[in-house]
Amino acid sequence: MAMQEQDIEIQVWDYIDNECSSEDNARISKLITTDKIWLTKYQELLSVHHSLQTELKTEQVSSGFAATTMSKLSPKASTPQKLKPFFTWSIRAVVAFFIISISGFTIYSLSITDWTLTSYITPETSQTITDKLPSNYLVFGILIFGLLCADLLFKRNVSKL
Amino acid sequence: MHEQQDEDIIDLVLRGDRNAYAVLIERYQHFVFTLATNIIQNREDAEEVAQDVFVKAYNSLQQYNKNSKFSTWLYAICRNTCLSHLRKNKIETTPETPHASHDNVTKTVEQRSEKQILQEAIKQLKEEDATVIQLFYLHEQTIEEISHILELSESNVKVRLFRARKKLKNIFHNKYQNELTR
Repeated sequence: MAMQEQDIEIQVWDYIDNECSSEDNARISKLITTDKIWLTKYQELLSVHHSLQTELKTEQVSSGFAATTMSKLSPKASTPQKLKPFFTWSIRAVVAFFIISISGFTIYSLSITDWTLTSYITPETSQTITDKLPSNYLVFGILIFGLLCADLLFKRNVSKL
Repeated sequence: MHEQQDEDIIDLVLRGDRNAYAVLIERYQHFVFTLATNIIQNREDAEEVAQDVFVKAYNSLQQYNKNSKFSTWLYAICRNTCLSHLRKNKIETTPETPHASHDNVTKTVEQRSEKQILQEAIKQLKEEDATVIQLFYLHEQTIEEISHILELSESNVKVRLFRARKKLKNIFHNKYQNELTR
């Protein structure tokens, strides 16, 4: 019996809190209008709910709380704009570098590509793949790795601020 | 006058308007203090911790994720600051005034206003249950938001809320029975 009452209470609280599904909502709503036990429980819990909503009040801080707190704020811990101009500019420089490099690479590749059908079938690779290509890739890889490390370093510094 | 949204004020602070932060302090000082008082059970310490909460929030305002409410984020900072204060000071959560027993409350309940009864009743709850009640009713946080603040599952928050309301209901019930038998 007590278990059943507790089960009703759980469902009615969910109904009051709007925490149940639309089907459950309709079912409980119907039970409240048709079943006296459910109606009594609903009225009882709703009364507690309203008391908590209306009677619960905050504790009041002493006057001057806000002023004291404001005086404790460090002027250093302010805006990201003020603190991170170097990071902002470095990020912009990295972005610009990539955009220019990729654009240049694309334009160069397009300009040296032979668009005729024969060359498409049997591409001439000896001109594009030279001895220098692997070393260029290596330099490019080192550059990317360096940028990643710099990015991680910047992020760590920013989080410390 | 239309109240400035928290997010707009935060933007102002992040753009360098330090004084705008005072609006947020004024807006949430009583809520943060209430929460801190409930956890720390000492008004003086709670006020100091509440100030620390606002300072911490200010220092990490850049990390505030606008997907959640500012109040939810602030209350999470508040709870963590209170817990670390308790750990640091190795204070047991002993209340300023001893909690009244259930019988004492019901005996003298007629002489008090409903607000006083409620405050007394809440003092009888476990700290974590009282916090859930305060967050839900006073701070208007949803169950999902409370689960985020207290780092609990939603079902756990529901259980605590149910337990706390059941106890409060019993206290109210006793009050009305006493009034009827008078």
